Formats: sequence, structure tokens, C-alpha cells
Amino acid sequence: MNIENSKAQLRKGILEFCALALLQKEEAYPSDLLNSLKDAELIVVEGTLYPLLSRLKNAGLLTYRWEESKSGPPRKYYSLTEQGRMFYGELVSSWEELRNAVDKLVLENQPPKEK
Amino acid sequence: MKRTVQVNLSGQVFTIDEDAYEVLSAYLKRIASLYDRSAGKDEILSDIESRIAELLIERKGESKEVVTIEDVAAVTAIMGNPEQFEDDSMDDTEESYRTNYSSDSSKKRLYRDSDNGIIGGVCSGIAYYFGIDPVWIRLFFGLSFIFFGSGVIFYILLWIIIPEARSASEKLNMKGEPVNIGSIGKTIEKEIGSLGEKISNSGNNFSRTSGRKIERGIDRLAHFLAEIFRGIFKVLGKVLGAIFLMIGTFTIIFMIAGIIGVADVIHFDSNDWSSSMNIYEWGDIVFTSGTWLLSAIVGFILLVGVPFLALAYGGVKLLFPRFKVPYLGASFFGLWFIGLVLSIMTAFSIGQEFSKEEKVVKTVVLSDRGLIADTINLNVGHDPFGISTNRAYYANNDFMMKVDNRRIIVGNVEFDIQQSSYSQVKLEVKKSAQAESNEEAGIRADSIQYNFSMDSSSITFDPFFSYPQMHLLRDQEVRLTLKIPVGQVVYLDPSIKRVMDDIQNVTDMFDPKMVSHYWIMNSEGLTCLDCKEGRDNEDEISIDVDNMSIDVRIK
Repeated sequence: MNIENSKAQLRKGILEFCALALLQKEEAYPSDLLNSLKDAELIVVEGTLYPLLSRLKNAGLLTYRWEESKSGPPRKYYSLTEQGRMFYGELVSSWEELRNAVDKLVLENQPPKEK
Repeated sequence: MKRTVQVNLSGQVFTIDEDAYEVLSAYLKRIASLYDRSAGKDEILSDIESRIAELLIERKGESKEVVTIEDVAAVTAIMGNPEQFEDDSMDDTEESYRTNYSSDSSKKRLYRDSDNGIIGGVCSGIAYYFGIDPVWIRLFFGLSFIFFGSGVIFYILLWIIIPEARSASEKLNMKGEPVNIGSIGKTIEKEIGSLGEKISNSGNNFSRTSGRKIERGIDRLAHFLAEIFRGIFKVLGKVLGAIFLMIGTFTIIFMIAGIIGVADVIHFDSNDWSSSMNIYEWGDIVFTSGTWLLSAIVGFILLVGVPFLALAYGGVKLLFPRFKVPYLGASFFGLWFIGLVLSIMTAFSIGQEFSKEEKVVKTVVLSDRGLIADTINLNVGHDPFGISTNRAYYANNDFMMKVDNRRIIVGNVEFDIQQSSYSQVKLEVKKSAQAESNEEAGIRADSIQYNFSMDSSSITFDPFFSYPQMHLLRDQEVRLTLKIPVGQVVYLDPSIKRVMDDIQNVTDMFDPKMVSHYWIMNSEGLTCLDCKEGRDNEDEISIDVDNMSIDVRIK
């Protein structure tokens, strides 16, 4: 059993949620998102983000607008749609429940010696 | 000097080295193929291209120097291995886990490093594979040259087996650089990074990573050996495959040529003849019906041909492992089995045809017909069919020909001389043939034609007997036995050589040596009257005849 793999599986599950969380505050283009996600160590390879954004956009949760850039290719600025906001809201409450449940479970089953 | 190309990534123009372009283009193609079926393929690709452009600009700054292979490697490392992008919910975790695992195992491949190599780049390539200095590998090989010598052969073998890293991506694969690896590339970097960094980590962490490093080393050694063995078997397999294919194909070609081609090439009609009959003619005079002939031919082709066909197919499979024809193996077996059944049936039927033998014996008292000379000259006359003497002598087989629009089969007679208990000279003509029944065999034996002629002092034998073709080849034989009384002298003319069949004589002389001599029948058997002493080295007894006195010496 590979620990890196398990970690990656955990991260993958919440990546979608986190991307929505970042966009819920303000619109952003992928490089912004990548910086935030990398800082949070939620993403390892950048390529992962693009299929995810494409999927969310196709599901009607995201929309984007083009903006010219002085120093590179034009940028796609993503923002949440109304549907995306509702979706995110549901995920937030679901996350709260899940986090409490997991925390509780882990705490209860913690070995006594652990810090 | 390197060639460069211009690429346009999301509207940004980059000048890029050709090898770097190759790597980048392969990388994008892999992503494209991965998302081939998903709706957002174009969008994902253009987004990724756009991000790559950004990263390249970041690396190069505004100067926009030529993008090198190192730049591409670094950028693709950041973007990650396409297989790792898979976050799509349609993929089950099992699958993506396996994909990750397999890409993990293919991260490094064994190549020959011809750029930095001394001879063939074998050592340098192996060194890259294990991530150590090539000096150590060279030292090992150097020592093996001196001490064992076998290292030379091993090196040459490796030189042949290990492919050379030619393309840029192969070179990256050889060096283990992350041409398509994201996080794993980073992991390697971390682990291969300086030891000091690791020591500075917690002791617990250190022991874990070093343990993993040993594990990784063993893993890599196993990989290395596996790659070599795979290479050896691959080469052996290809060579074997080529040999199989060749043997199989040529045998089948020769078989077909033998069955169809030869029949047309050696075709005879009228009075021409051939010492060897082709398969149709032979079949025509062996089998009672065309059906059996066909059955024999088809049976033979299947029984012998199918295994060679299978061999050729096996060869093709070894050469091209993906080549596959469904149910071919079973078909081969089925056809072969049919061939076996046909062959057995035909053989059984033919066996029946030869089950009974009948002899017709006719004894002619030659003395009554005016043969009265003291010395009888025995010779063989001109062959009645105009067959070349020499060739007919060597052609022991029966053959077929056409005489007066009748097809006949011609065979060689056998001639023997024996002692007669009577005072007369007799010739026994024994004709024999085989058939399914005695009656039929008798008819066949009776129909054999044989002639000889004589006068008062000589007998002239025909060298051949003949019988109608419709009686088929059924082991027809004509055996002539000349029975002479004690005291009778015969002269064996050289022409009789062709029909002589193991004539017994007191000196055990071989038939061909007996000719051109006078022989007397005495109570012990045929005795030579004029043979020179010591002619026959194989005999222990030598006979010297001088003025009617016979001198027998035992050496």
C-alpha cells in the first residue's frame, strides 16, 4: 500500500470542492487557482486542474470570460454560476457533517500515546 | 548545432529545439489521446497549452530565448503525467491506481548511452539506470575482461540487446528525467537529493526513506535483470521465429511443387520413359480408383503439410506477437486428424490389395529344345523396348510405358543359377503377383509376359517382363532360375549382369564380378574356372585354376 497514493486519493476527492471554494469568493484564472491549491498542498501536478474545470463548466457550475494578458496568452477568468453557488452551498454543509464525523471517529479511535 | 522549430502555443510564438519539440508534442498527444472520448477534449488541451505557454514565459522571461529540452522537461514535470490528471468520477479508483502503478514502473528504461559511452555506451546506460557513476560499471566490466574474459561476450550481448537511446524522449527515459512524470519525478528528485538533507530530517523519517531506497535498489536490479532476459528471449524468439517460418514455408512450397509442378515437368508419353515416376503415374498404377488416389494425396498433404503450416504460423507468431488468427490452432489439428484418417484408410485399402500372393511357375526343359553344348553362353539381349541399357540397369524400379497404344508396366527380372538333380538343363520361370484374392493374384501372375530365346549353345534373356497397366502395380515379379546338372559349364556374358540376383558360388563372389568368367557346376556349387588368384581380397579362400588342376588355398 503506497502512502502517496492514499494521500492523492484523499486530495482528489476534495479538490473539486476546494476549487469551488476559491472561485466562490472571487473570479480567478487557472494560475491563481493553482497557486492557492499548491500552497495548500492540495494539488501536486497542475494538469489535474484543467479536466476538472472543464467538467465543472460543462456541468453548468462554472462560467468564464476571456481577458487579455500583457505578458502571455489570454486568460480565462472563471466564476461560479448561480447553480454553482447552490452546489457549493450543499457541498459546504456536507463537508461540515463529514468533517465532524471523521474528526470524531479519528479522535475516538486514537491510540492513547499519540500527540 | 541544433535545429529549432517555431511553435504557437495559445497565440504565443516560441522558438524551440527540435528534440524539445518532439518531447512536447508527444506529451500533448498523450493528453489528447487520454481525453479522446470526453466532451471537453479541445478545451482541456487548449487550457493546458495556454498554461504551458505561461510556464515557458515564466522560465524564459521576456527574452524568449530558445526553449530547450530541459525547459520542456521542467514544464511537463509541473503539469504532471497525463495519467495522473484522472480525477474524473467515471474512472474507478482501482483503475487509476493501476495506471499510476504502471507508469511508476516504466519511469526508467535501459538504453545504451552512445553520447557518453566509450565503446557502445552499455556501461553508461546501465549507470543511468541504477543512478550511479558509470566508472563503477566500467570497472566491473574491465575486471571481468581481465579475470573472466566472459565479460567480453556479455558486453557484446548487452550491446546487441540493449537498444540505443536515439530520440530525445528515449534519452530522457534513459536518464530517468521526467518526460511524463509529475509527482514521481519530484519524489525521485527528493530521494536522490543530498543525504545531508535527509539527515536533517527526523531520524524516524530517515530510516524510512533509506529503507525505501534499498527497496528501490533491489527493485531496480530485478527490473534490470528482467529487461536483459526479456531482451535475450526476444532476440532468440525472433531468430527461432524466422527459422520456423522459413522451414515451414519452404517445405510447403516444395511439397506443392512436388505434387503439382513435377507432374507437369516430367511428363511422358509414347515411348519416352522416366526412371522415376511422378506421383500421379505412380498413383495411377497403385490405386484401384481415382478416389483412392485422391484420398491418398489429400491425406498425405494434410498429414505432412499441416504440421509445417503450423510451424510457419508459429514462426509468424514469434515474429509478430500480435498476429492472431482465431481458431487456427484447432483448425490445424482438425485438418491433420482428417489427413491421418484418410492416410490410414488408404493404407488399409492398399494393404488389402497386397494381402494375397500367387505364383505361376513354368519350367522349360531346355535340353529337350536343342540346348546341347558343353558350355552354355548366358546373355541378355537387347531390351525390346529400346530402353537405354545403363539407365535401366540402375533403375531398379518398375516403370510404365506405352506400346502399340497399350499402356504396360515393365519390370526387371531376377536371374539365378542352381544345381539341378536331373541331368537336363532346365529354366524355371516363376511369375508372381499380389491381390486381394488368390484368384485375382493368379490372373495377374498369369498375365505377365516374359520371353527368352535360345539356340544350341546360348540362352538370351529379355531384361524385362511386362504386364498390362490395368493389372496395377502389385509386386509383380519374374524370377528365372537356371537349373544345371553337375559338370555343366556356363559362361556369364557381361550383359547378364543387369539381371543377376545373388547367384550362389563357392567363393561367395559378388554378382558383378562373376561375369566374363566360365563357371562349372560341381557338387559344392558354382566354381569359377578362369578367375585370377587374389582378385577378391575379401575372400579368405583363393582358387587357382591351372591346366585342369584346381588349387584351393586358404589364406
